[in-house]
Amino acid sequence: MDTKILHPSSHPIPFSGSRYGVTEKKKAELDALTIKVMDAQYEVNQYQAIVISLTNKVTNFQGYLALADATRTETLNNKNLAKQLIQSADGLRSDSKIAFGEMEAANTKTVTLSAEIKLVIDVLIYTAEMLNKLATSVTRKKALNPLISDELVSLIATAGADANSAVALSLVALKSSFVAESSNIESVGAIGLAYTQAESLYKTMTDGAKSLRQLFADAYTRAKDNYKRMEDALAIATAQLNEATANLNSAQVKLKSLQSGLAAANAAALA
Amino acid sequence: MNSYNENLQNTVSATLQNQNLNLKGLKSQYKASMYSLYYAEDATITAEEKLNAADTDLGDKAKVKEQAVRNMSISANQLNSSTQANQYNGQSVTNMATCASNVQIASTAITRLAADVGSIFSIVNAADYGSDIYTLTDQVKGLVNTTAYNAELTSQTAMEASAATSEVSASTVLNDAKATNALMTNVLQIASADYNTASQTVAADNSTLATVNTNEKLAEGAFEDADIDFFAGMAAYESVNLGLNLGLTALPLTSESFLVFFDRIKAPFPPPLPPAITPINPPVVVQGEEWYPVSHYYIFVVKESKQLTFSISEAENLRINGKDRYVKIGYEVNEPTSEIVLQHSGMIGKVIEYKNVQSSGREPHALQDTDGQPIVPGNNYVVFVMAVYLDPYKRLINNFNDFLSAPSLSFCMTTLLDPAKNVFQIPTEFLKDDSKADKKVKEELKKLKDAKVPVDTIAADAIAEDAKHVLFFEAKPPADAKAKMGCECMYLPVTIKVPEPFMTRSAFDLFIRQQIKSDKIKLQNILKLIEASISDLKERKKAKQTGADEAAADVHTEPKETSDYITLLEAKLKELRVNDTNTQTKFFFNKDLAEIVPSGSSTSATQILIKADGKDESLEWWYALIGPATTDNFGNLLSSAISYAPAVLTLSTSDDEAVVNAYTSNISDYETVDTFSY
Repeated sequence: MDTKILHPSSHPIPFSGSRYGVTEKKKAELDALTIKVMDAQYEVNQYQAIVISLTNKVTNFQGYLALADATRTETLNNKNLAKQLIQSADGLRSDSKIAFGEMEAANTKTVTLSAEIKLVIDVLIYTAEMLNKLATSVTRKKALNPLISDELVSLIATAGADANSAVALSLVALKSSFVAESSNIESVGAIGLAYTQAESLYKTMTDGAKSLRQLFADAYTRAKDNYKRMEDALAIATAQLNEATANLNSAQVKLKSLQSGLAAANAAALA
Repeated sequence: MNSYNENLQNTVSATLQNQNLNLKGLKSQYKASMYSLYYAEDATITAEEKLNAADTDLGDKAKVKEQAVRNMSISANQLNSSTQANQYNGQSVTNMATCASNVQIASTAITRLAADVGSIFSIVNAADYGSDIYTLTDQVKGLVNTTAYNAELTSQTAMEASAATSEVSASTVLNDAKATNALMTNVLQIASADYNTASQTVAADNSTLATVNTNEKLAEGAFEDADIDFFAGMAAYESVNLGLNLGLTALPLTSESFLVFFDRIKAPFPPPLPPAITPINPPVVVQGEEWYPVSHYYIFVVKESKQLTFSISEAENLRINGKDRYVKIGYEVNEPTSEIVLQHSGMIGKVIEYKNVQSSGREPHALQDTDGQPIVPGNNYVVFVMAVYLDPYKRLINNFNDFLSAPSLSFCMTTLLDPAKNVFQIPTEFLKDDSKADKKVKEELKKLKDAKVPVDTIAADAIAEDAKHVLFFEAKPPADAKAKMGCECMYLPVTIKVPEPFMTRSAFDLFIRQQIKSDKIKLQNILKLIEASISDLKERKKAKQTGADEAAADVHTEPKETSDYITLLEAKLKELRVNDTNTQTKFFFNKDLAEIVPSGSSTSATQILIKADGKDESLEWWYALIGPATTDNFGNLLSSAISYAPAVLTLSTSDDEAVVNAYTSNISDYETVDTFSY
């Protein structure tokens, strides 16, 4: 009211409160605004630094994750290959076991065969001896008794020739049976060796902490765990970055609005 | 001042200003080279860690390769055996077939013989029945029949044997062996390729390490140079300051107090013998031939930016008109509480609490800077000292001007934040269930429980975040809530398992020792002064307590609360003492460097809140999770092969730069803290 009385018509706007130095006040307001802008700039700078640092971190982690992924794929492939290899070795092991059994059975048969042939030869030779004796008797009888039929004599001669032939052939058979037997024994040895080695191969691949199977499985487990960790790390770092970026954005908005305010105030004050 | 003295003073100011600029340049060089060294170390340590990882990887690959080679040789042998077995088996089949056919032929021949004998028997049976021929023939017939039968049986066996031999699946085995061998070759190739790649990586990492090591050595050299330059510059400045500027020094004590000390002005000649001059009253310290011709000293606090324009005329003006803008020290009045007049080495020192200055002969008041503005912590100031000569002295030399010193080095009062204490980490598993924890962990858990830390909530948080460890520590925020104290946790890799010791370790020790040494030299004068002040104050306090000369002593001459100052000064002394214990970090690290660690490479700790009577109450305990994304201070992921020393940087995280400047960060003790591995 006092002010109104003091300035009845010169000023259209009614004043409240007491008079003050307008220029000083303007200056003070501008200064305060400038300080606010500086503070906002400081805040923006702080967040900017954080965002830059976190962006680097996220980029790093993305690199790590890609690497971890590649390693994981590689170790999985290796593990699968090892699995295939071990299956194959297992097949080899069981097949060679079967082959070895078959070979042993065949060998047993061969041994039996040789023995049997020997027996046949023995009885054959004895029979041939007896046949010779018969031939001698018949020849002697023929000399005493010409009535003995020529047919008989002729037949006995044929039988003698056949006996010779049978013995000869049997000896050939005996010989070849021993050849077969010896080669079978060799085969048993060879297949047996192959079998033993197949067993040893399978065992080396699968048994113990240092076996290929375990090493490949371990490598895969490690790669998988590492991938999981990188994934987590990236997720956390990305969340941090997003938060920092949001903070930066709001700080930037604040700075921009304060800057606009300051520019407008400056322009108005200096116009 | 006459023109002689003015000229002298100008020269002094110019010299000091030059020195000051030089010193600033050297200091920035020093800092820059310190940062370069830190980054070079970062490169080295990162390279070391990479090499370690590559070495481990190579070790794993070597194991795989070794096994693959071993399996490969077995497989190759097996393939050979299978091939041979197949060959032998083929031979057996042929031989056995031949044999069977021969047996069959023999058997046929024997049958024919049996037929012959049958015919013979028929004839003999018909013609010679009963004769000896008949008997013999009958015998032969029986024999031959048996033989023929046996021969037939044998031929059957031969057939079976031949069949069985043919049945042997040696070819399948060979095929299996070939397939296995092919796969094995494949695996070996992969294992070898992996091994080669890994060994190339190791070689590459080794050469990187060599390169970064060289760079680090260069950075070290540069740092050493900058270090020496900086301290040389410091020494030069101090020497000039001491010789030409009364050794004027301002030292911040707390956020609200600082210490100013300087040499008293001494007349170049002893006083002329009486009665040439009027006796000085009250008598100043006149011992032997020395004469201190100053009645009062005035201390002005000037903004650093204004130091070049502050002049004697301004000082004179302020002395008369600016009543709250100076601190007066004189002898003719009783000493105020915080004033320390030192009898040692002719120096004067005064603790100035700017909010409550007790100036000679005045009521306590708040001190303003020379612009009439309040003094603000976090801003840089310098001090000037003006000396008003005794009138007799002025008259003696016929010069009635007074003396204004050149500015001191700038100082800044800040609040030193409390360092984090009780720093320890607990594996997450033990937070849930401490039955398997060792004694130390149990004690730490008890400590937490005693402090009402909600361990279970934090454990749940840690599990949710997949964190392996949780770091706990105690840090007391400053009284002013505006400061917003934050805690950044860093994990310094202290043991890097490398085959050879860290090359630069001794060099770092040397640097640290050098720094301690030069710091000590630099601080020696100040320490001496403070210690002298303390003993002086203690003496006076004792005198007061015993009341020995109570009657004689003027009550006003005794400081009222000397013990406050003793505490203040002792605290400062403690702060100035450099930690000389053995270091566990293997690289150069300090608070300055902790401050430049980017936020991505440190973890912000959370202050622990509890509900008390339905209200949130914050404890002085903090925690930080150590999880999959946690890195060391260089930004490398934490590894199980390395031990880490946690370091906690306490800092102000206010949005207001002025508030941040008013606080000095602090770092926890990372040299003796327990280490951990991820």
